[in-house]
Amino acid sequence: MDSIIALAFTAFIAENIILSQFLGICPFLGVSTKRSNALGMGFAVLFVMLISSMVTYALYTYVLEALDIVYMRTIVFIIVIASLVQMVETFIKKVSPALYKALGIYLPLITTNCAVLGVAILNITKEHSFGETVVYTTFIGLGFIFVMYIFSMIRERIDKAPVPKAFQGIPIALIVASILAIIFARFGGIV
Amino acid sequence: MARFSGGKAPFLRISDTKGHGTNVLMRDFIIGLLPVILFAWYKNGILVYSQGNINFFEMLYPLFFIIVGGLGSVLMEAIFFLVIDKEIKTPKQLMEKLSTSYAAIPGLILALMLPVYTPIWVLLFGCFIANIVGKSLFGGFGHNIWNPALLGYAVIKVTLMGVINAAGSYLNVSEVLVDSYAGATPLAMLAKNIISYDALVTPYGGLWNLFAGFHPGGLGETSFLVMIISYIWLSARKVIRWQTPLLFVSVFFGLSWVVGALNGVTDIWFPLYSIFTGGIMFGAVFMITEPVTTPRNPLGKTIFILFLAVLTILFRYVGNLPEGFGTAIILMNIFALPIDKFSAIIKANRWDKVAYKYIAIIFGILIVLGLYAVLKAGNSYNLFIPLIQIGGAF
Repeated sequence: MDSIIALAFTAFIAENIILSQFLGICPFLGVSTKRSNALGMGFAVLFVMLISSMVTYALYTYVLEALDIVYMRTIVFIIVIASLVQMVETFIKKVSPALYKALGIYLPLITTNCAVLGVAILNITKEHSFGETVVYTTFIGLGFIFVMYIFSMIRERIDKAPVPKAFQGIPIALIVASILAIIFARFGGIV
Repeated sequence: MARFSGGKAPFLRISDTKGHGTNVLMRDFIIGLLPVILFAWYKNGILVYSQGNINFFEMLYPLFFIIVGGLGSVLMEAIFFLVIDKEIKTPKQLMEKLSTSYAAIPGLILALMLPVYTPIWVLLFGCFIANIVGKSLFGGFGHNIWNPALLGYAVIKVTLMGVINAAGSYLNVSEVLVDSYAGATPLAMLAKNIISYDALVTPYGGLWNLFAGFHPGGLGETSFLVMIISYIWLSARKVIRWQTPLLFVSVFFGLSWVVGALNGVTDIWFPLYSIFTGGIMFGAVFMITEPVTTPRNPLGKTIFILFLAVLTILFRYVGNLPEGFGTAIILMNIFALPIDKFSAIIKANRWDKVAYKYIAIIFGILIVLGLYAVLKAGNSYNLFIPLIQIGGAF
């Protein structure tokens, strides 16, 4: 990686977590019916992602590699992420009950959100340094928020349109998602 | 369409009277497309025939191709309505429904964007994506989020470009015989990152040829000259706002000049070359003026156009996508609604304190993107890297 800007841009658009790596599809479809919910979910995921990838980076480098038990990676990462999500949930419940209610079941579901685990593992396999891990994860999270936001915006608009009955709800959302993926695929060469 | 005509009182709207309204608008739009269609036929049919490279029936092929695009779309839409809409029982009801969905226009525009020897089934696939997936599934005319024709084009570009290349790519029969074309559209030459008159303009016979449209490219998107005729007609009939294409082309002209200057080419041929190629005028006249997928108020339109110009620079000169304009439009279609909303808020608050937040967001993004695009396209980007690189800390 010769420059941080290229890394940030790659993480944000070119390797967008949802539209080109196809991780985190569950919240992408589930919480994107309203703009405010999408933003709330996005920031929750960004927060969890950032903390968890920093913790997992430290654990991987100073514990797993030092003790030569790298094969424990998946299990350790899952445990770390699960406990972090629990923390975030408690935190949001205290600070913003409305947001907590709006997110509903999807907040505990961050535990099994493959995007969070995916980013933690991507940081390891791409052999990022600590600084790069922070930048990469932040912009992956921002890319997640960005895509969630425009997707929820489009869905809000579609809700008012006379979509044929067979395509209402998730089917038309999936069509929109595929079109978005085609458009975002064109960003590959820009970095 | 009945935005102001609710309630009991007359609430007379001019668009409901005879000689106005969407029907007339669309009729005028098709008339505006006619010069382009005729030019496409002349360039790829008649001209090649007069040079003796094809026979009489092959001469008619380009016209046939375009008409198939239009008719195929109408046919598909008819089948779609028959399948989906249970209320349609008589042919008359079907005709009524079809007459308000204007399926032919995306088909015609899509056919004009594709190369001549695209297989017919690829064209029909594109029409399917454009009319059924891009428009009807979203609720029909007036509810589509993306420009239907461009959506069809983008999907073909991603999935079936290999088939088109195998069938002859962008060259028609006469153009294959010209050695200097090297099998590429003018912009594909630019994608190799050489900015020099000899490499970019000379093979195509000078700027006049680029202006008049006699260079390889899609069927009808090549000619700047013919597009000006359509532009004048459509503006005179008030189908499109005359400011929109003019503003876009001039902003893009200016930005290209800056990019050229940063690369050491300050002559005027480079920005001229930039606006003559890659269907800039075609998109400017027929796509960014579309009422459904672009912002409605003037300030919104201006913001939309500025973003478009910056993104086109980004896709074309940095991303090496010769047809970057189409990608830029289809990307900006997503943001038509928020731009419309934000610009309305800015206007309603008369640019005062409440509006500052929105102004800061929109123009902040615009300036950052613009600087990145222009500097990176101008290769000056590398000079700034040492200043902002924080790699040493890691």
